[in-house]
Amino acid sequence: MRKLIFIVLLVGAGLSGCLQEEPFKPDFTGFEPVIQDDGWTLSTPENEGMDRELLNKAYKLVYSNNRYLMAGSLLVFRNGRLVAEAYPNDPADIHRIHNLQSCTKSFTSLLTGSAIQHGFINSVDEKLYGVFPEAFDEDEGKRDITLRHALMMQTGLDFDNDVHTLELYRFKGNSVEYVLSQEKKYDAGLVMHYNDGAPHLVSEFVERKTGKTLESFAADKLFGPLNIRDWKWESAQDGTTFGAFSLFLKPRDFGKVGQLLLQKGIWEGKSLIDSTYLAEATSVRASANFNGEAYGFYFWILPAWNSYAAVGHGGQFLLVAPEKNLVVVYTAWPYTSEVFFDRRNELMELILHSCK
Amino acid sequence: MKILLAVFCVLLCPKLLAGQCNADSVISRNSLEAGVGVRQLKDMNLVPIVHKGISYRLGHNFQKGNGKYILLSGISADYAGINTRFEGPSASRYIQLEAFYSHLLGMVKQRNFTFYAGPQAGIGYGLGFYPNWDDSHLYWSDYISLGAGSLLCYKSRGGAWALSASLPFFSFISRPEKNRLYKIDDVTPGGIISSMNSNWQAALWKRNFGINARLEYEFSSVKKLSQSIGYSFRYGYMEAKYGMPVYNLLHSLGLKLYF
Repeated sequence: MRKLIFIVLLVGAGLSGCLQEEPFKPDFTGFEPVIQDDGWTLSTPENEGMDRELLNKAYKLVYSNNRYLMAGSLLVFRNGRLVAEAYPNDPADIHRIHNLQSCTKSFTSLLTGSAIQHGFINSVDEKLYGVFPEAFDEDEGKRDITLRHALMMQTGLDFDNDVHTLELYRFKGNSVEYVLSQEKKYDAGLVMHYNDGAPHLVSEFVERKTGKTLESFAADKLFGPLNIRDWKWESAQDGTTFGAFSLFLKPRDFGKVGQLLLQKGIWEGKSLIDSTYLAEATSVRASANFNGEAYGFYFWILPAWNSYAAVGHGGQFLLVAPEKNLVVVYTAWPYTSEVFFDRRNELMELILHSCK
Repeated sequence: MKILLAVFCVLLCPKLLAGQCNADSVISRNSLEAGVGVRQLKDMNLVPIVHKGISYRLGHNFQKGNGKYILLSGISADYAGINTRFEGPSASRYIQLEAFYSHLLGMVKQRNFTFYAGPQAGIGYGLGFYPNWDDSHLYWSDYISLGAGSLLCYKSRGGAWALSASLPFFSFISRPEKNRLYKIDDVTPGGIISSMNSNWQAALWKRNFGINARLEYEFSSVKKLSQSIGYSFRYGYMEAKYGMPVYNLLHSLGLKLYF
């Protein structure tokens, strides 16, 4: 009997061993884009004046470096053409919409520019209180907040993403009132405090001015003209579109928005975004409270490269480099902490330097 | 090394039974167990990478029976700090609460050993949180199962050996969907309970497969006080139709006190 038990024990231990890990990224085999019926013209690095080897290096980094474990896609557009693309997690991601997280804020900014372009908003210096006064509490200091302050993350409200974003997401009442109910920590316009509350106020502002939710307005004035058909944008439980997060797009369609930015808001001869607003939105307006980096109206400004970017959780970004006529899209698993991604600039720099 | 560590630790499996071996009169008794082991988790809804770490267990068991039958029940709580090779120790957390009840009948009885087998019901809630990989979602794997349990007892000169095993045949399982197109799970207590009780679906043993085996040696060091040491091996595979599978493996050693 003892022998039997001993044998069973040994067999059990042997069988149990360890769970086996499985590869979840294929080997890098190339970045040549494939033809899709989505409006993009394909090209090669050589035809667009790019260094293929440097591009290769960038792609290999994404495929093999641990810092890019959760990479979803890397697309490079130059001169209005798609030069390189790869989907390290799953090739089928080319057809999937993807949560862009805080890159959403940049769309909220663009749609503000669109509302200006279409005459719904006269000035970014308009006060929020004048548009939705019923959402404000008794603190009169909050009534000085303008659209510009909200676009620069300078509302002065003590909205803490670590606490209030989740509450905003779950809040069953008036979500705008919830954001405005946060304590006023500074006077409006003094301190840039990056948060998810301010873009929600902008979303409400655009909704009140246009008569459509930000999501519907985007469908009409941005995604429609760009022929972006497959997308999703989540709303708070009261129906107000989240201005700060939860826009889902396909990577190639994300690139179209980058191209629109390169073209100063003009698409097929039509101006979709007010050019004056766009210039202001993509130039330095503030300096971030937590890292000192330059910030526009929901765009991160990269003066060293004469570029700017939309940036989202998981390391995702849309890089726009006007001087190089370059757009880069990088998407990743949108819920990863910075433990697994902290080298955005490394990737951007490689691709920027590949431009001859 | 892992096996040695595991062997040194576990014994918390709720399916125990030793002292019942060959008893002719009905005996009822409780036991408290504590154990430690090595847990490995691979939740394919997240990444096909193995999370592993030290797992701790506390449990309470009750047994009643004689050589003709034995009733076993127990509750247990497991906690493990786990991580992958890409991050620091205990970067993630796994918690599991389980309870079971089995009614085993003496099927074979010989001079020194008795074999019992019969139906077993169980319920378990397992919850993983992997903030480095996904700071917005919960990864749970819950079951309510009906299956079979067995127990082989052997009485030796100094104590008693017991080998128990169980296998679910029919279950209801709950897992998160693979593609959760929303940003944040509600991580308040109410939200967690609500999430972990969603998406229930029926599953046969192919979708909720589990082996739960334990080898235990019971002995008395002090009169009227009995204890046991044991090794447990647990393997689980669960796959809902709307998601990817999760694999769960535990080697552990444990100590149990009977009273």
